[in-house]
Amino acid sequence: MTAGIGTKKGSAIEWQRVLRILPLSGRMRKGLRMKTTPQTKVNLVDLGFMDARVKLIEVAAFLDRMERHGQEDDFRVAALKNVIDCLKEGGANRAERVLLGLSDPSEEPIEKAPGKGASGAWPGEVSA
Amino acid sequence: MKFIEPHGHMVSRVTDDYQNMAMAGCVAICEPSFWAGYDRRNEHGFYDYFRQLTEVEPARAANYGIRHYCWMCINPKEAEDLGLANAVLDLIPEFLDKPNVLGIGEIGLNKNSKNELIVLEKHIQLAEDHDQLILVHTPHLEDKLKGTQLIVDAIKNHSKIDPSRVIIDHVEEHSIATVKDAGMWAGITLYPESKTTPNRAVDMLEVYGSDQIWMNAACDWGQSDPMSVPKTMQVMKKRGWSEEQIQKIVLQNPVSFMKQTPKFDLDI
Repeated sequence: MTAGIGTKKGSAIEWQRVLRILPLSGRMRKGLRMKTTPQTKVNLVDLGFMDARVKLIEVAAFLDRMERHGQEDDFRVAALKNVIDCLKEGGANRAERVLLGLSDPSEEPIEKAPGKGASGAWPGEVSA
Repeated sequence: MKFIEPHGHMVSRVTDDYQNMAMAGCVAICEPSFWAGYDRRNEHGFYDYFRQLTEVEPARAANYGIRHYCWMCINPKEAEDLGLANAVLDLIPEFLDKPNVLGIGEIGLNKNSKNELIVLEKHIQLAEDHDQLILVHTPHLEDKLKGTQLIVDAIKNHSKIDPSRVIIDHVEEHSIATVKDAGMWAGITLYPESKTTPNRAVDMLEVYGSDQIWMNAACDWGQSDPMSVPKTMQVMKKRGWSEEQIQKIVLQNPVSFMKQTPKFDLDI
């Protein structure tokens, strides 16, 4: 149906290619802007820093755990490591870019549903 | 503050949830048809489920002063079996006349398969033939980006369907623009893990604006929280949103969308 990406599952080169070929959303095309401004300006760092800190350390600990247990080659772990690069980039669209990097970039429907669940990362193959 | 839960699978929730939601200010719950967690063997299972949605849940909600509305369909998770799907599609028109049925939903895709797309097309045609509102489920996780585009394209193929009478649910940061650009409503689902957190939901509201958008818990038999809308209202308040700004998202917007059918007769 749709050609596969053609590189090894979860490899860095493959994921960099996926991120390049994914379509830009309307927000990225039109530029970022605030369409709803809260009535009162609050210190969002005070509000969210500790939450972000604990989640980032949790990701680091998860990757350490995968390495210690020899499970870092799993395509989901590889996908996670590759999209982390987005966090250092500007543009105020990091969440969108992470989601794009974890998504199936193909466009055609697959022949038959392989099951009902989703894994959270694209394995790098497109079903025929 | 009052709020509407525009997407809650109350058949899966205990009565305490109705009570807690009522105490938090919930005035109405809208319940799309969904997958029960197992595949039903035949259309008779769906017939009984549709009776539950149109007879039992409205009475259960009324005990707590909550209005209950629902949507009819066979969920995309059961769409791979075309024989079953067609038999269920034949049942739906009988229920479209029930007083609490708002439209066709939650239709959509799950794994983006050909059969799922065929059944989606049949649901869209059913909505067009019966002049119904449409509520759409978008796929989970890695399948959402592709599925959202396939769904939007399928609906746009029906020129008689007014996009402002369609809500595409479970949008996230990478799919919301596709929906908004198509002139359709967007639903943000608040889940502990697999969809959107309260802070991410508020981020999307700030970036994409407060028009043609709602938030829901989509609480069901899985990990989900029927109180996630009021909890997100607290987050909005902490982030400096005014009461009027919050009420637009959690009350006025759901009313605006669902008032497009005269069956949504809630008096706010």
